[in-house]
Amino acid sequence: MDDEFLYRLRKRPPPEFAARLKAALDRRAPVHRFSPRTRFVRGIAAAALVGAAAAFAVLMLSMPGLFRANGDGAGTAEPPTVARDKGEGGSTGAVKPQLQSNAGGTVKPAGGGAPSAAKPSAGSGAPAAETPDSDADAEEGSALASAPPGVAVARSRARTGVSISSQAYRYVQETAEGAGVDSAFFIESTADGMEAFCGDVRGVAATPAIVRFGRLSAAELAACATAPLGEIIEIKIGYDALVLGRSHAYAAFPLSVRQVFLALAREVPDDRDQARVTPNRNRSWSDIDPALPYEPIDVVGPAADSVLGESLITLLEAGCRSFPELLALEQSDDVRYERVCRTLRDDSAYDEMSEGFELLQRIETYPNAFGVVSFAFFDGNRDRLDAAPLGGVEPSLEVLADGSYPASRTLYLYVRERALAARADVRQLVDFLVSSDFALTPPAEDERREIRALLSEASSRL
Amino acid sequence: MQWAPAEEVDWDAVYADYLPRIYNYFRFRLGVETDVEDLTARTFEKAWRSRSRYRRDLAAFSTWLFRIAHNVGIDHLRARREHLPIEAADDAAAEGTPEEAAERASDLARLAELAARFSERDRELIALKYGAGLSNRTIAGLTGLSETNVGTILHRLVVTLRAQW
Repeated sequence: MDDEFLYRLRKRPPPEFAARLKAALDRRAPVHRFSPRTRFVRGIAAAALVGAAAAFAVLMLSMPGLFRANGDGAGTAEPPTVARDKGEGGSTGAVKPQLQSNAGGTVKPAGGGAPSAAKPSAGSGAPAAETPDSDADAEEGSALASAPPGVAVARSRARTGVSISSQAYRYVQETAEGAGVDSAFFIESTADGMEAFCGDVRGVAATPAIVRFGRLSAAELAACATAPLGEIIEIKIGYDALVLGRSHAYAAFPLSVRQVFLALAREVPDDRDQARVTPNRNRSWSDIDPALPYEPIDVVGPAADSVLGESLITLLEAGCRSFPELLALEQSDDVRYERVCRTLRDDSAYDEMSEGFELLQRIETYPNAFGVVSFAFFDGNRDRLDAAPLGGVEPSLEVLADGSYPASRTLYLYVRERALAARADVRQLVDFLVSSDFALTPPAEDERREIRALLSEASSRL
Repeated sequence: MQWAPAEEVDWDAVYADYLPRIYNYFRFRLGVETDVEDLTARTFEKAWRSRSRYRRDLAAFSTWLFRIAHNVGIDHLRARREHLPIEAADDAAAEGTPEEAAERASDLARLAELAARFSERDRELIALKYGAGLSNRTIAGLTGLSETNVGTILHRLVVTLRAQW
């Protein structure tokens, strides 16, 4: 049993299957290239379409009640909107994302900002998540719909899972799975996740919720919320933050993100020519910067493949990107970029050790040692640990919240209100993510109270 | 941000290169031959339908295509799980039909049996690496892990499989 053995388990697809599938795909219309002429023709067609739509709209407005076809509101046509905070939004579209509107039309931002007006959800039609994309298929025509007998006819289904950005995947998937949360997750780039969540031009949403690091911008949220898919609830789940801690007895000293990179990366730029990288030979902090103490670099921290290790790698990468020559590698040689910017050194300067009693003992026994720990661990051991300010910022819940601490990211969940009503697995996921069982550092208690109140309010409306 | 003209992609070459990869990804992911052709067809159909929207600036082609495959697979596994009563799921794992029993006798089925003890993420890594034949770099792009971590985890998984084979 080795790599070769596993590779030998592969087999070629049956030729008849390959041929039939190819023939079916070939029958699809070729990808269309817009020429100036087609753009012009399309422009004319679009103008005609807009005109017809306007005439239709006038007709509809002159016949009030036409859309009130049934009592449950499924026929209402008013799309939900996102409230605009006058202080920040206005006509520029720089709208602060809102947590949620309530039935009365007021909205409270997650961080306790000023309430603002918002329209309540329009209609109570079928939950967005339940909307199959098979209608989209029917519109475009299935590639395999006319396949010969024997060809597996692919039928697109409504997606049932939650879209999760590839960066956030491990944080959520592993802990949720461990807690028995019954949600399927789709790993997607942030852009694909947004497309799946916000729906395509036909307003068909493919996923009821997205989980991602970083808050949606006002423009993104506004664009997404205007799709006729129901209102969006924004929930700040928590912070993924790490701390470089040292024993109180020896006190930590301030470090920059770049200095952390130079201390812990396997390869670093050459002093004389920063376009060249060499194995990291920095042994003392003063090797990195003469202003730093003449003390050996001795760091204990997570394995690179752990969740906290991912955070450390992300911090290294941020430091690496402060060198323009290394940043340029991302475009010119991405394999080398990965190796240089995202690889921990593996010599005696860095020892893998999970946070816990043993790590605390190590830090207290060895005066020069720093420990890389999560903010939550540090916060629980403030009596024994001293944190190194990073980029001039000392870690605290306040700086995690305002985003000024460089070794922190905020995880957000965006979920359609209707999906909360219709989907037990989505409710279960939301409950889990806002519970104390989830591994990230949670927001401050007042923010959590606000989130709980929001969810409770949303539930009462459903 | 530039949109890559779809015509720049040689879709015939893409099909020839990726059909065996996607096909074997599903074989490794499911551990059985059943439904592999259907899921492969579904993946290519989705990709072909959206190919005009493929954005080269956002993702390597393989990353894009395998995200589609991953999502098709998730949907399938979830639907299969939802349609199996608990007792049936136990039976499927333990005995199953004679056809399934024969499949389980194969190396692939043995691999699936052992990999069932791994986490979802680890099973995905095995399917991407040995089924689809993707590089660690591409797998890293798909899973959010670093390239180094992918290599480390896969090494650990192969050692575990070897010990239990």
